Amino acid sequence: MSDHSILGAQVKEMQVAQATSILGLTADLASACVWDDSMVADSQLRQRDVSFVTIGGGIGSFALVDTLRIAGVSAENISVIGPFANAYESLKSLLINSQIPDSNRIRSGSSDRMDNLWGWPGYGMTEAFRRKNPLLLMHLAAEPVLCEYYTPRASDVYASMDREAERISWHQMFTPGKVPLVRKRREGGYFVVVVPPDNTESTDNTGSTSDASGSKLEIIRARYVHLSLGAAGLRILPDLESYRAGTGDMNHVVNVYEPHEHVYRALIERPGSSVLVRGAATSAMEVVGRLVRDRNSYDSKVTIYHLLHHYVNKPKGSPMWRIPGGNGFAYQAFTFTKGAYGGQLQDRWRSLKDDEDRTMLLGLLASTAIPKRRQWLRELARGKSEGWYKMLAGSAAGLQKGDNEKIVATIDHDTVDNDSEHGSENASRTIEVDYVIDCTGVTVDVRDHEVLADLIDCGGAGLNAIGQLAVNRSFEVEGAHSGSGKVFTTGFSALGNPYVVPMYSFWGYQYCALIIANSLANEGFCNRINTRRSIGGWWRLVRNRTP
Amino acid sequence: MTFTLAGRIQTRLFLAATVGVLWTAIITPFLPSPPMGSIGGVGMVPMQMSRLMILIPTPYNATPIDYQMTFGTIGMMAVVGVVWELLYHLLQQFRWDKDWPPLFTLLAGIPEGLVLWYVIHLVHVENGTLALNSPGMPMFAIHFATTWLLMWLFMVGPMKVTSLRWRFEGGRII
Repeated sequence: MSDHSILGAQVKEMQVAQATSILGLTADLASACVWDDSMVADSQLRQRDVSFVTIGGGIGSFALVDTLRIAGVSAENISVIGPFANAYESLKSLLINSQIPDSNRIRSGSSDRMDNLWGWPGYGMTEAFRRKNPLLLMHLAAEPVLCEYYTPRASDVYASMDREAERISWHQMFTPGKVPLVRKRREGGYFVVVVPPDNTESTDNTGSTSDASGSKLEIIRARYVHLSLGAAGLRILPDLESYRAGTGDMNHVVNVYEPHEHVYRALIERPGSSVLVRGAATSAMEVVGRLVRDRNSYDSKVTIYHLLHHYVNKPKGSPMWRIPGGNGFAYQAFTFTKGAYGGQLQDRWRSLKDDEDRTMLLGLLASTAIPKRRQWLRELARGKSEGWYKMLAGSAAGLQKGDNEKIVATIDHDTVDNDSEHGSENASRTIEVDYVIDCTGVTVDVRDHEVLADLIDCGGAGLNAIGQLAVNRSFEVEGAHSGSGKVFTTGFSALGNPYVVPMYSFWGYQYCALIIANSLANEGFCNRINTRRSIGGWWRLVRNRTP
Repeated sequence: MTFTLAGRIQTRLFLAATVGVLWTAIITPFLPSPPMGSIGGVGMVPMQMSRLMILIPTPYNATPIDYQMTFGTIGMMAVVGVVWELLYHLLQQFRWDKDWPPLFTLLAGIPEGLVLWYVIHLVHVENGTLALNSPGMPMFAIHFATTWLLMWLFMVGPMKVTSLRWRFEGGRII
């Protein structure tokens, strides 16, 4: 037995123990990767049948359910399992933490709207009519040449999804809960184990209360399963982790996606404090924007250190691949290069055969960049000249606790000082700040999701070159099919697939949903959304009739 | 807009064949037809005395030659357009985002219109002088400008409804 398989066996044993004890499954069920109807019947767990189950209940689930409803699937045949009743709840909390409250605008285009598969009329047009503002229509016609891209207000996105949820009977299909396991059914299809919210913490060591009266576990028998789980909880970067572990201080060093309102409050309450913001993407931009607004409104006199990995002082690259840039940042309107949203870059992506080439192109298409917002850049220029905004370029090389509650941040290879933009390279320097807000991103490990880890260990799913689930061109998880049943996945867990690039974008969720709906139409599960159905479905949407 | 080359060409041909043809059929009778004989057609000029005198066009007096000119124009717009699309695709390569803002498409109507004016004379869809004060110019200008605008409006909106895959597949319809 190789080391690998010994390790695998140990992991498996642990999982079985965990599944029996925490979930209250019988040992029989927990240890079998394939269940049959009689095993489940013997367990006396609550059981129901649904053709299609989507797990996650967020934007990815919403996009697919919306598309399937338009393709003629009735609400009774769909079940949605997730932690929150509103599909945008997770997104909303991430946006609020990263300083985009409801009244602010998100980094998304006008026609990428989650409540409207067709994207027309877009958010911009709707807003123009609602506010009786024809100038906004001209803005839409002129973007991004004569003006910046129109972007929708977060509150408008949520409100529109509320309306669509009502229309497609989302809440009727929704069951609150967590899904730790999806197991194959011997007769085809799957068993989905649902743990209701109030049951997730309960531990039952005997594993014997899994009877109809005792356990609240529910088993859903389904033909199709869709997984769209989002980023699995936060994984903060190693240097933050070690600072926290070493000092026990959880307050002064935060990741942007964690709730960290206390930082802004403290900076206002103690004027003249300093903060280090790390990162050169949108969330860093929003955080700096918030700090500047607080500075202007509350006279917080905060000093902002902004650490970028690379200082971009001009457009970079060959003539055909020249990313706009300046003032330290690379500029790109959206998270992914526009042409990757269905354009020629999508074709290029599909034409690549080599994993290495694909990883390289993905790095290029998802470059660290910010939208070029002139107002924001003007504030930074003012901050630089008044001395309260200092830009640093280099790599973070550790955080230590200093005197007086200060944090000492070490920065290697600082290539820029605030006075001259092309300062000579310093080997290393340290700065003292009161707070650190890290905006360099989160790591997404597919194994952080219990259900995905189980699908890999027990369900036959494989991984792609960047460590996410390997899928075929219909976004079916390869190796996980069960008889006529299929598991689909979209969003983060299918990133790096050879078909669609911008997986975690409104556009990407909708496109993947359409692809899945088309493949299900081929199997006769729903209708193909042809021109007639498309126009008819759109007309029903416009009149707010059920699909 | 995030066009692929194939998507661009398909989109242009689709728009010309639908919006272009429909609008041309509707508007031709209302266009200020040039006086008979002043620009001529391709050999056939049915004389119609009323046409010479009536300055305000009415829906009832469009001649076959008017239709020949307007439909010929739309046809040439589609054919020459394929060459234009090659040029636009080339220019798109110099954009980081590899996209094509709708404003570019709208404004492309100006150079395209001027070249088209020359081309329709070249292939005798329209005869007469190339000068911009040609008697045929008002008819051409109104017809081309309104058709171009309508095609553009259709593209930035309803097209997404009639062809669901269009906005996901780089402008491809099939």
